[in-house]
Formats: sequence, structure tokens, C-alpha cells
Amino acid sequence: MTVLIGAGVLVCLLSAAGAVRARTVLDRLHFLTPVTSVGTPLIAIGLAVHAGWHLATALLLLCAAVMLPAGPVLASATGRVAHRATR
Amino acid sequence: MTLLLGAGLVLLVGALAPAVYLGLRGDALERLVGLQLSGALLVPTMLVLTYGYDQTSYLIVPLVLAVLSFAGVLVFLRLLGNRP
Repeated sequence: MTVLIGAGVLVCLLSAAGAVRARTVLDRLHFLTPVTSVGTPLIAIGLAVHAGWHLATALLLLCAAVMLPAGPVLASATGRVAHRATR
Repeated sequence: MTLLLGAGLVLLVGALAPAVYLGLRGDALERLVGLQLSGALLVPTMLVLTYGYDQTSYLIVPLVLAVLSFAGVLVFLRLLGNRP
């Protein structure tokens, strides 16, 4: 549980640091997806292991399941608008 | 302070603060990326804090935030994409 949550927190921290360091919008978008597709599911699975199986655990995993496809979809939509703006 | 509250504090200070900073500077599209990152980071932060305070009834808040943040950013993208 500690390892999973720690790894998720680390992914979130590194992504935020990378996004601040990136110069352009398209570079910055690369750091959005790890938060939603790796960091949040890791933290949710770690919390599910910590809490055990309850109704609240299903809600927690649903939260991660909603976040999982949202990041890549938003990144691709934002990338399209950014590409059109820079053209 | 428990481990989960500590993780929540680390996420708030180390990840959410830089994301909010990104949302405050640059042009509209750069600020929107900051908003996306803030929304994406606020969800795991709330999950950790919910279990840190042992109040699982609060879990509906990050779930609603995840859905509304996704829809809200799509609306902003549509508005920004139609700009001349």
C-alpha cells in the first residue's frame, strides 16, 4: 500500500515538475497524461489495498476509471487546438 | 500526522501549487493546460485526503470533479478552437 501510494505521489510530483520546466504547450501536454493514467490509478489501487473491499472502494476505483481515459483524450484534443494555433 | 495526510500535503504543496502557477501565466492555451493539470492533480489529492481523514463519504467529491473537469476542459477547448 505504501509503495503504491508513494509511487503514485512520485509520478504526480515529477509530472508537475516536468510541466513547469517545459517551454511550449505541446511539450507541457506530455506531462498531463502520466498523472491521469499512471499516478491516479496507482494511488487508487494503493488506497483500495489499504481499505479493503467496500462500497467506497468501488467508488474509489470508479474515480480512477473515469480519470484513466480522460487524460489522453484531453491531451490529444488540446494538442490539436495548439497545433492549429501555431500553424 | 498519518502517512496518508502527509502524502496529501506533499501532493498539495509539491504538485498542485506548480500546476496552479502554470494556470496563472502565459496565453490562454497555456493557462488551460495548467487548469487541466490542476484538475488532474486535485483528484488524487482529494482521494488521499479522504482516506487520511477516514471520511469515505467524501469520495463523491473527487468523482464529480473528475467528470466535471473533463467536460469543462472540452468546453474551453471548443471555445478556444473557434477563436479567429
